[in-house]
Amino acid sequence: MIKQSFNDNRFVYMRILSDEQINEIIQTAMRVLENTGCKILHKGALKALKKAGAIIEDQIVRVPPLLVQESIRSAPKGFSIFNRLGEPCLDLSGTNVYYGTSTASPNTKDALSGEIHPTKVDDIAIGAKVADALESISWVMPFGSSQDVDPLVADIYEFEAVVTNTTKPMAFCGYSPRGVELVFEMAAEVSGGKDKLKEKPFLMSYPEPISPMEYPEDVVEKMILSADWEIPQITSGAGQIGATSPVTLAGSLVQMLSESFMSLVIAQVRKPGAPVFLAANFGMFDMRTGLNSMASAEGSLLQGAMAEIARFFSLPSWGYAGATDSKCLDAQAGIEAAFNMLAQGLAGVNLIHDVGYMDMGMICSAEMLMMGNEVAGMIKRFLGGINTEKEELAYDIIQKVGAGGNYLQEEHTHRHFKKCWYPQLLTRQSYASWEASGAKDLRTKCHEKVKEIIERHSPEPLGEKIRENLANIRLEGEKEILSSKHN
Amino acid sequence: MDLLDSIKEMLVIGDSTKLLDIVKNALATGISADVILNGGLIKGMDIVGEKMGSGEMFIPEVLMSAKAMTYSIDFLKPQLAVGSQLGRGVIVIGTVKGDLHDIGKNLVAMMLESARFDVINLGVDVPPEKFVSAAEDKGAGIICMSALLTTTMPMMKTTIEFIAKSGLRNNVKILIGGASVTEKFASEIGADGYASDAGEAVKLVKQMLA
Repeated sequence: MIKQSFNDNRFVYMRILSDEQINEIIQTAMRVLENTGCKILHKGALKALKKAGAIIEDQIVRVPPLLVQESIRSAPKGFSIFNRLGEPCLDLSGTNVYYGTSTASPNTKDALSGEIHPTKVDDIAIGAKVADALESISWVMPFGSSQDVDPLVADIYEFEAVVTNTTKPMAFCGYSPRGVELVFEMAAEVSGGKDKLKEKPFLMSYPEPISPMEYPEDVVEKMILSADWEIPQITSGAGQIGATSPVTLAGSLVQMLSESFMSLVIAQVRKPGAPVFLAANFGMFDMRTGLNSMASAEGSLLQGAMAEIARFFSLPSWGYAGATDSKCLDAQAGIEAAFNMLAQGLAGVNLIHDVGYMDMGMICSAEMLMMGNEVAGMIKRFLGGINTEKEELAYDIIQKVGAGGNYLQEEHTHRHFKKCWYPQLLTRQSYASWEASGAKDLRTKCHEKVKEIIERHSPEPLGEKIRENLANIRLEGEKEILSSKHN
Repeated sequence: MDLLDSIKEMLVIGDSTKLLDIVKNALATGISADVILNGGLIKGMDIVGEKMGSGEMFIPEVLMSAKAMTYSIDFLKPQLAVGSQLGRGVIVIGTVKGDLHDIGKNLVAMMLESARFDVINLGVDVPPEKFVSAAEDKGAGIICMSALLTTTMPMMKTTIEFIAKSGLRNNVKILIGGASVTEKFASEIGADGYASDAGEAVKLVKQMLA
């Protein structure tokens, strides 16, 4: 049984904000939403929000605090995500931490050849298969943004590729509302019906508004669809500090929290009880290059702080880590992945995506994902903390072994030694042994392991009937979308 | 230090008020507005450009310097000789129809303005007709298009085709950019250039309008 999380002794965590700070940020965000508001470019949502008590002027929606509080109240607290087989997988509550893959990159570092090329649907299938075999990667996203199909049908191709190659829970961005709807239909097919999907969701959606505070029509449409289907949604803008959100960290928390509140309100007004995260992405706008760093210390600090605020409301939180700005799997990649994954793990961020990202999110790399899995394993052991039950305190064994003895042959050692974390890829050999076995660096080992998984791993297959039905939905959906495009 | 050097120095510092003081001072000592512009302000902005390229100056500082320069140039305008070259060329820029993302595009626009190009920023969700009419009206040498989403990248192709149909294609260079955009895509759809970040965009524009 693959251990997907360490729930046992979650005392190992860090605090970033004081209670007073959390309160100040919440109050300020409420004021922003009340006085500045958000721009919502969806007629239906504007009507519904007005009816619910929001003040609308020229597509600017200002939300009174009472409506925000009602939405917080009606949103489900601490919900579960299942896998494709209907087994409970992710307990999105408290400080439970789950690492997931990166997504949406225009390029892929080929899992076998290492060549960097535009992402293909096939790369996404391979990414899912690799993730399926990784012990410490708990959930997935389509491993790239496929460039070899029409973008309007990419949703259905990518969902099919992922769900065929892994049983793990999945989140996806979605390119178009109709695409998203078709994905939901495909997911219902896999679950055995819309109600079963609702009861045991293995899918999460990710509609992304434009920071600061702008909600395009198609984004709101995706939110509405998700609420109607009760698919958990991670509605999160991506503020780049200093560019699309304030450069001061507290200011960014305020703005992004007000956006998260707005998302919450839109979903709850549409359907009270629709599962939603209190999510945000904090990007680091590098003032030298004008590009968005995916690996900054500020990013993790902010994701962690936001998670604390989400926890305050008992809503699930979101983060990104395991990504590197480096263009290859080098020391920078190692530093950035390890630092950010640990930081957000310690902060108790529930769903942490982007393991596998390279080149500031422009590339998804199976090798990077492999290395990230190793890091995640190490972190999970660390977060698992120290157990002080009687057996663990080991008084009797210490007495038995006594001064000058050793523990190697003890039953106690034999019983418990596997609780320590053993790396699969990081070397602990002697120098001579390491040389004798090929003197391989980590990058080489990651590559070899990826190759092995691709050749030997068999994800649990989908039933033939389901595969057929998915293919049909895809074919019909593609016909429908492409023909309406040309009309 | 002579006054022109002081102007360059203060421009790099980016203090609008203090810069204008030195400019006024320079005028009072008999230095002509044109010499102040060319030997002081423009040379100063070139230094800013170099420092940005070497990583010594950051974007907000560059934008402050550009603001300070504009403040002084607005003051000097009435005193400049007729025919003084202020602009380096006209550029039309926008995010294509269907896409509302604009921070990268706005950064490019700001950096081009800082480098003294006349920038017509059409905003977001810009239909092909608008790109064409703005380019024709203002005599643009370059049209810059941006898109973030893969679903709106095809609109770049549509816009280029429309530009060609309008008979404008030989009069303008077309540059594209955006997170998902690649060099390969740019050449596939017939764009003249592609930039992976704002710095590259400015370099390319300078090359194309030289």
